[in-house]
Amino acid sequence: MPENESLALGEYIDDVMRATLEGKMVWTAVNPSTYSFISGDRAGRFVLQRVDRMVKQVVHEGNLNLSKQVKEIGYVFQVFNLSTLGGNIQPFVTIDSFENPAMNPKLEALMKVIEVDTSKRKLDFLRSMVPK
Amino acid sequence: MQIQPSDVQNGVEQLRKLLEVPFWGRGEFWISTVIGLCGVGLSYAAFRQAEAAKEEAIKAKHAATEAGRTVKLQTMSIELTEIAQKLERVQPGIKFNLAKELFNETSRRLRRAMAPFADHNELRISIEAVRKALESTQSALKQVRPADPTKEGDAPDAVYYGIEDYFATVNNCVADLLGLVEKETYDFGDENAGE
Repeated sequence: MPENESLALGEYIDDVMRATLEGKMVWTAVNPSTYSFISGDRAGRFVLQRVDRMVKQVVHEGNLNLSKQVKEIGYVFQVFNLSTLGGNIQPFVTIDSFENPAMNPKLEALMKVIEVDTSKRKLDFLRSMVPK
Repeated sequence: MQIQPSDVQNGVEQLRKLLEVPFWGRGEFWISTVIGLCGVGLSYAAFRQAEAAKEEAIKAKHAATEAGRTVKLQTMSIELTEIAQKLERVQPGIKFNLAKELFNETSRRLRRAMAPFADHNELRISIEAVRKALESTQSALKQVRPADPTKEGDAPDAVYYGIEDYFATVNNCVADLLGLVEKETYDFGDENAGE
């Protein structure tokens, strides 16, 4: 990915994070590792997923260099253009932090914001159920 | 009739002469010795033949066991090849139910095929690697179980991204194991070619 595009996408992720913090974007858990958000005009759908991958790593044990499988955490951010989607489920934009490691800290921060916001909403709902 | 002292003396004299001849000087001794030696020789020959028959029987049993093991290894090799092909069905857009079915079938067939060789010296480490990869894949599947199955389509590639790498690891481990199984089958044929 060209550096300019990477920078622009980084700024875009910052905007998404800000909107989430301000409560303008309410994400829904699709599964334990994935959240999605559909824009108000239903023109686009955002998906953020935490992905574990097994990566080979050389570990030094004494005089031996052992190859071990180590779990590495990354993120996949996708945007679907619903207005032109039709029957096509191809994403409009995909950012995979394993392919673009520079995006990993941004996506990790976004995931944290979404998780905190989601759990806060859950707690607010639970509190609202308790009679006062 | 009365026995005279001279008769007794003559009888004793004859007996003494008879006893003075050594026993190996008699024909009866040599006849019984030859018969005895023949008996020992025949017994030894029978013993050797029994030993040879026992060795042949052990070899035949070993060959039968090895042949059975080779057939089992070949069956395992066919099973692993089929599983490896099935694992390639993990494609973008795969749904959770299909992924779960694929995992269950793969796991059951792999464990069944590997179980008889779990303690096999050459295959043990690879089998353990496959088992670990299956356990990791099961954990990865739990991470993509849809909260609401009707909204699974909201993240159409979530299952794929969540499990793709784990299934690839299982496939790699199966390929390693398949290579070793094929080598074992080849080694048996090579070792037993002259027997």
